[in-house]
Parts: sequence; structure tokens; C-alpha cells
Amino acid sequence: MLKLGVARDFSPDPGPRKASQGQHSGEAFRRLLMRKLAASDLVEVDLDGTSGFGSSWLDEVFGGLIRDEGMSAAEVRRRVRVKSIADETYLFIIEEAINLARPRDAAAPVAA
Amino acid sequence: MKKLSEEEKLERLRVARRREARTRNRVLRRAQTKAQRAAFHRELVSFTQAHKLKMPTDVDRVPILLPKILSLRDNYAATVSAIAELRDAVLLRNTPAMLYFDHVQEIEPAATLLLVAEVFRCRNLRPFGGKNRMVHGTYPAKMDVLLQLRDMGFYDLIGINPRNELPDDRESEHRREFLPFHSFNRAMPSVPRELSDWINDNAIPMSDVERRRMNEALKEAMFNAIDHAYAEAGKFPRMKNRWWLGGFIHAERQEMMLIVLDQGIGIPRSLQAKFSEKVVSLVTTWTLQPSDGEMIKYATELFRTSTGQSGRGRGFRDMKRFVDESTDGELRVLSNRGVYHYMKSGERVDDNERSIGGTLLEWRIRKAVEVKEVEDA
Repeated sequence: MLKLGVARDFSPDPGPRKASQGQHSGEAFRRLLMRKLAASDLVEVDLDGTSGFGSSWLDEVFGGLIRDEGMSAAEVRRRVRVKSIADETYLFIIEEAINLARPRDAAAPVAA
Repeated sequence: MKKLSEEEKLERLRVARRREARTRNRVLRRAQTKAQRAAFHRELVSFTQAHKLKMPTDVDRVPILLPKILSLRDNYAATVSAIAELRDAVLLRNTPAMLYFDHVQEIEPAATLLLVAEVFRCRNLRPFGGKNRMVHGTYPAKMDVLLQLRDMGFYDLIGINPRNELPDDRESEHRREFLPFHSFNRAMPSVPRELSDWINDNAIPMSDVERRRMNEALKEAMFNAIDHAYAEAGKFPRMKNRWWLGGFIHAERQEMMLIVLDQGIGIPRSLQAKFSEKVVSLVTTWTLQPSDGEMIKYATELFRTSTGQSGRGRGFRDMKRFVDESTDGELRVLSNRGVYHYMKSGERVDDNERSIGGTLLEWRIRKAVEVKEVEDA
């Protein structure tokens, strides 16, 4: 299992959703995560130690694995383990992002 | 002398008529401009005399009298009207303006940020004759207002002498400490952390969760300004991705205010009303389009997004979570004509006559002040 700490390996100040919007974007972190997933079947993402995440950043990383990288929700849950001891609400937001995400070509789901 | 052919005679006649028409038009234009200038000058003289103001050095300037109370909370109509007058004069008519602060008695951070952002835009997008030519202004007559503007960074942001030589005799213990206005044209993910560290170290101790909620709220606000606000062109020229930050802390009252502003198209214009919302609007107000205030409220609902993409529409939840985490707090969203208030106890929607020309988010957070037990003598 590979470990990937957001604060340690990426930035203590996660930024916007897209790389075009600014530094330390969710899109940039997702690319880093994809490189780790290419090297290992299981990657643990550690969210602790940062200044906080906007929902858009978390959605771009974890929902983006399904929307843009072609992974299934089951595969994301099996291969990406998320650690967030300091703030467990992030786990809920990530689960929500995974549940709502659909591959790019599919129609967007209707939120309950 | 050469005899002209019929064709040549006709051609000469046409040329002469064209020249005559050009001369006539030029004379008419001159006369019109002279008459207009004279009328404008008469208006300017009567305006400055009526309000006991000095005449501007450049008589072509549009005089704009700022209201006694510059506030979006207590004097919305007059405040927004004065700022709109500046915007119309400089950005639409390319006319220099003169801002009269002479009668201003009270200023509110949100209204001041809206004004300084407009001055900033006017000066940068209409730099004719040098950046500083298009908007001039007077210093406030009331010293307290001048010093507050100085503390807010009003003068520094637009490159005006902040009059640092003026002594500040105000009591320092009981007053607000302003976060100087800042302007950015890109996302700045480290700014919320630096700000929450500063607030935590200097005035209001916050738990890790409170700091995270504050950072998340500010981040989503700045990313929204960049991602959605300038997605389409508006009526006025814009400075793409430009957003402003301001606020204050009050250590004694354990209170803080944070403001994020953009000059984009506004939330009501970036969001399409759903069929059900149009029906509700038709039943309640007899119009198919919900009011701006209602549209802001709809935009704050979970999963409501202008992009139509899955996973979007959760930014406002982050902005509300900062309020939910506090003991006593409020989020006020002003966008175009609408106003939306969010408190833990509920939400409220209002609408105004005039638009602020963008979106302003304001968090007012108060922490419970610890009551110290005093022993009887």
C-alpha cells in the first residue's frame, strides 16, 4: 500500500477544483493520485494537517476518479482508502462525491 | 482655361456639396457641445453651491455626492445609487468623475469595499490621461471617517495618499481592527489560512474545526468568484477573475467580519430558474422569473448548480458551515438586486430596486464572550 499525504506530499493549502483556476487544485492532486494508483493497487490518502478543503476540491479528486478517469465507484472504494482523523465530515463529503459521480458520457444523476 | 465636361462638372459639384455638408455638421457639433458644456457647467455650479462643496479643478467631471451613511445595511438605495452613478459616468460614458466624501458621517466595510472596487475598476479600465485621471475625490470632512478609510486600506488600494501624517487620537482599546482591503485576480489558497492564523493569534482564539470552517468558506467564495462570476460578459466591462477581500476583527466583542466581493454577472443571472420555481413565482408575484433574492436562496440549496454537471453545487454548504460552527453568526449574500441572510435560526430573502453589480458575501461571526467572575470588595 502506498501512502499519499495531502499536506506532506502536495500542499497544506488545497486550492480550487481545476488547475486553470489556480494552484494546488483538485485536478492536479487527482493526477498525482493516478500516478500512485498506477504503481500500487491500494493507496491511502491522508487528509489531516491541511488548512481545510472546499467541497469542490474533494469532489474533483474523488468524484473525478469516476467522471474523468473511468474508474467505477466500487473500484474507487476498493483501491483508495481515505484517512481523516481530524475532521470526519470530509469522509461524508467524499462518499457523497463518489455516489453522485457518473462517467463523463453518462447523464448526471438527479440528486435526492 | 480648360473646358470641363458635363461629368467633371457634376463630380466637382458633388465634392463641393460633401465639403459643405461636412462643414455644416462640424459647426452644428461644435454648437451642440458648447451648449451641452454650458448646461453641464451650470448644473455643476448649482450642485456644488447647494451642497457647499468646492468646484472640481477639472470642470468636465461628473460630481457624485456620497451619502451621509455609506452602508448597504442602513442606507442601501443611496449608497448603491452613488456607486452606480460612478460606474455609469466612467465606464459607459467615459467621463471623469469627482467623488465628494465631504458629508460622509458613517461608513460600513461592505459598502466601502464595493466603492473602492468600483474606483479600482474605473481607474484601471479607463486609464485615459493616466490611471488616476478618471476618478478624483475629496477627503472626508469628518476625521473619524478619514481615519477609518485609512485603516481599511481604501487609499492604499487605489494609490491615493493615505494622509499618514494625520495623528490618530482615537481610543485603541475598544475599536475594530480592519483587515486592509486586498484585490486579487487568481485563486489564493494560502490566504484563508494566513488570515485565520492572524485572527487566532491576535484577537479571537478559534478551535481547529472553526479555523477549517472559516478557510473552507473563504476558499469556496473565492473559487466561485473565479469559476462562475465572470463566465459571461455583463453590461459593464469587467476585470476577469478579479475579487476583493476585506473585513475586521473586534477583540473585545469577540466579533469578526469577512467580506468577499466580485463584479461578475451575479448569482441570479448565472442560474436558470427551474419550472417549479417559476410556478411558485407566478403564483406569489405574478411574474415568471423569481426575484434575485429568491434566486440566491435557490442557489444556496444543495446540489444546485449552473454547470449542470454531477457533483457540483455544494459550495454554499461550505459557506454556511462556517456560520453553523459559530455560537452566533450570519452570512449575508448580496447579488445584483437580491439579498439573502442565513443564520442558524433560519434564512431571509429581500429584494432592492437597484443592483450592486456583482456578488458580495459577508460573514459576521461572534463568539460567546466569557463572563469573568468579579469578587466583591
